[in-house]
Amino acid sequence: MARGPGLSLQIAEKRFAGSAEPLFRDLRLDVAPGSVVAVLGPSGVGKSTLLRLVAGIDRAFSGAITIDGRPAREAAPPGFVFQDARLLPWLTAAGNLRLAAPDLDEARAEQLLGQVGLSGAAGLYPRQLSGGMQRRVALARALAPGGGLLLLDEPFVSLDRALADDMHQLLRDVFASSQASVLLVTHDPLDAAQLADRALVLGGGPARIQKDVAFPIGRAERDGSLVRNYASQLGA
Amino acid sequence: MRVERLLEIVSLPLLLLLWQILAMVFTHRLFPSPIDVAQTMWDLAAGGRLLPDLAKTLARAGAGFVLAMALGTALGIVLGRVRWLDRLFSGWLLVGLNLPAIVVAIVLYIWLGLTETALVLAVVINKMPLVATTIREGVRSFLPEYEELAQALRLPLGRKLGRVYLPQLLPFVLAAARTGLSLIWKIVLVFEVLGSDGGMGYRVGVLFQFFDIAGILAYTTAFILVVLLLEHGLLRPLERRVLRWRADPA
Repeated sequence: MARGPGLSLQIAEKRFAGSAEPLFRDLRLDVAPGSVVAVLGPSGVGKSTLLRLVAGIDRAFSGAITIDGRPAREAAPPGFVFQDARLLPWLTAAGNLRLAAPDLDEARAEQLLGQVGLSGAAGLYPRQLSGGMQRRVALARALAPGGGLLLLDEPFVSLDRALADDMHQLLRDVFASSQASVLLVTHDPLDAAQLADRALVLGGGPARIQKDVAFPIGRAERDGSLVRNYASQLGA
Repeated sequence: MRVERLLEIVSLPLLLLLWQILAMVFTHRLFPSPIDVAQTMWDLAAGGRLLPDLAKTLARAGAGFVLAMALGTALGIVLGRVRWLDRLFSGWLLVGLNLPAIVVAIVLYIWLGLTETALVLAVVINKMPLVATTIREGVRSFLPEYEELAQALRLPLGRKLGRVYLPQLLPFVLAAARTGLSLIWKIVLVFEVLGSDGGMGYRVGVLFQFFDIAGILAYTTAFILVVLLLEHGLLRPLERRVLRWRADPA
């Protein structure tokens, strides 16, 4: 699969109506093609808002967001994984994938579901899937358009430890096989240290990048002590 | 599940049995048994009156139902989406909901004469506020999370309508249709008694003049049979089909 696109954010100002301070002012962030960038920071600092701006859910800001040099709204839509699975309950697993990619044929839908460990689940409705399986379908849906850019908003939130570990492994596999460019929002430095190539810590108001840490050792080669070391650089 | 299905199947025969027993206990000219009523129904159908009356009432109810559902759904969607219009017209809806049906019919009969238009219009005016209110609630209950998902996926309007909005609205449309049908049957008959040249209500009114209770019950039973046919032949299968994602089929 082709390497994911480069992403560039230049937010001159993002302000919510009624708030005295802008959320972001002169914020600049670049994601290199095919790299995984984690964004950390305290609650309310604007991590999820950043993803919403890239996805075009929130367009009330001044500045520019480009994907491979093209304005984000003209580029292929990024795959978005919300904090909850957010599957449409009246569509089957394959139907939910087709929502993101209308031309997806049966074989490709089955292949994507197989990639997230859900072979044979194409015809099942969300109520027939466990919470963890629903998250997997949501990830497959994000991969379906094939644009190569993934936006992950706290993908491990409200999962128990075992499910979170499964999801970690799954994401590692997906990152390796898809070579997608990824912006991963998380509150846990360990998530960033395990999955990302680079991590940014946002803080202050308006939010600024307070730390920008690159992790030079590849994900597959990191052992427990290296992961803890990386996490400690982020303030864990 | 099997027991529940069985209970559902025996429910109406149980009612008929109870009716038969009561008719045998309280033997009276004005309390015919279901067998007498079935006989009368057969005679009326064979005599050529029952079916044309039934058809006339069904046509009126059908026209009123389709118009009330179409207009009420459109109005409910607009009021659910546009806040200022809702503020402006919610008082009208409240008036419409509480307007006595019989008054609407009388006023329209006075203005438009004893015509089909007046009758159907009276049905629509009585029913539409209820449909609009139900649909408005449906639109208000749309989940913002799904709206956000549609934006993230950049769904074009047509797909958004078909895949995101319509499935959320369908349970409310079905609820409005079901309550709508039950209300419309009743008011059409009352309006026919009040002023029309035929139909179930008109005929029941005539039979009332003769205290022909078997005839009245024969018409009522025929009418109930049609309602049951619609419920089990159309509404329930439709409901099962469009809401199949909610539960495993029995």
